[in-house]
Amino acid sequence: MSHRIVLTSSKGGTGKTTTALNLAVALAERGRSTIVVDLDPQGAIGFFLAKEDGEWSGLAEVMISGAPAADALLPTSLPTLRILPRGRMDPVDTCEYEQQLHRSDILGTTLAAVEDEVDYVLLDTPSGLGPVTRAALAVGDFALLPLQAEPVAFRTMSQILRVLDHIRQNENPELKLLGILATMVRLDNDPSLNVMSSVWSGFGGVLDTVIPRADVFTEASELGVPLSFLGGGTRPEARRFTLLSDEIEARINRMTGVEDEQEPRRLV
Amino acid sequence: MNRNPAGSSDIDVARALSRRLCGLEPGTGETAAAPSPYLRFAGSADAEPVTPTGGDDDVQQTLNDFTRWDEFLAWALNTVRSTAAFAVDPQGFVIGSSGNVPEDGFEGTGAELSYVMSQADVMNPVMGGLEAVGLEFANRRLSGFRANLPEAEGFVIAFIDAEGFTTATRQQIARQLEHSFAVLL
Repeated sequence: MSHRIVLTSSKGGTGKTTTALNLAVALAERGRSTIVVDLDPQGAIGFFLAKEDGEWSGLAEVMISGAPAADALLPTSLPTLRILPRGRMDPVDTCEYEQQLHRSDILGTTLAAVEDEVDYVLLDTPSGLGPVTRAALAVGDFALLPLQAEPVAFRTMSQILRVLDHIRQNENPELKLLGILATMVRLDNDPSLNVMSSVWSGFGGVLDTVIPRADVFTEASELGVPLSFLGGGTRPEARRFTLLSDEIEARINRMTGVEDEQEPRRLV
Repeated sequence: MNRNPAGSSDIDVARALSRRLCGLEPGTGETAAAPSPYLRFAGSADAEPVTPTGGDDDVQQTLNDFTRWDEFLAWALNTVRSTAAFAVDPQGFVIGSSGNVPEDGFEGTGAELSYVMSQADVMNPVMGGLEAVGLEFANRRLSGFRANLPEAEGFVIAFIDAEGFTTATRQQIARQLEHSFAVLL
């Protein structure tokens, strides 16, 4: 059974797409069959991977012309990772795209059609609390909230948490908060540290793994690759996503009552 | 250092919600009891939630058991976010309406709409039968589609100023009409 993880935040620029893609790579590299779904009407995943806006077919073709969802999946150089791109949607149709996703069951049926023998489906949503986010949360199993460790992003946390709470109570009782992931963390910077201090004191679900602010992310985006695909050996930041995938898998196992595969270590 | 980076009320709410959502606190925590600072729009998303789907066996929308045309049309109006909705029978008579209905009703509009659709039907045989129309007038927008059900052939469901009149919402309404039609008649 696949686990659908919705990456969402009300503020833009918190690292949703970066996290979705690098986490998907980390899960795939540990052998988990993984699909990343680009729900952002702007096609953030495509841009992240330095593709032209209309280069890939995908979800738009499924929605507009009824193309089989499986045909819209894009294989990658990792056998266990596939991408469901946004597709060749005209940007002027963004409103129609958002409303169709929200007001029909197209997202649920599309996911159900492709997730046989898939371990993880990562749903990358646009910023904000609009129709696409709502549609994704309505069909998701878990919500992962990237929190940019800066004051403005922190101030918006109550908004997304309120929407999660509302959707769980009214639309999707199975939805769980998988975790709050601090991103762009700078512990040498007072405002960033203050945010982290507040998050670490009393918030539920805060993940131990944090993603630091680092130039290597810009380098990767310039080349259009995930971090672990950068040359020059494994970067420490890529290792963070490996740790994140460990932590997320363990947390999901715990939340779904699955025994952790890893035996506890013994000192003597 | 250690200045509060957000409003204390927002932090408290977020903290409590995060703890509740990940199961650290029971469902009726302080946020549930506290008065909400938010205003809600009438007829907001609660009225028409997305139907979560869990797999191949669960791809149908939730169907309502409407017993009256006005109930069905009120739901349809909400689904396409229009100001008014009405149903027209194959003879062009309006048999039900909901929403912001003009004082003189939709009788004339219903008949004219049926006539327009029958004219458009023969416009170009290669294009097939007409399924839906969207007419932009100077003051209002009129949309309608045919309920292509064996038992409801020729029935038209129409809307005034519909914002979400898409193929998907039409199909949603058609499925609901198919489910309710025998009772509505």
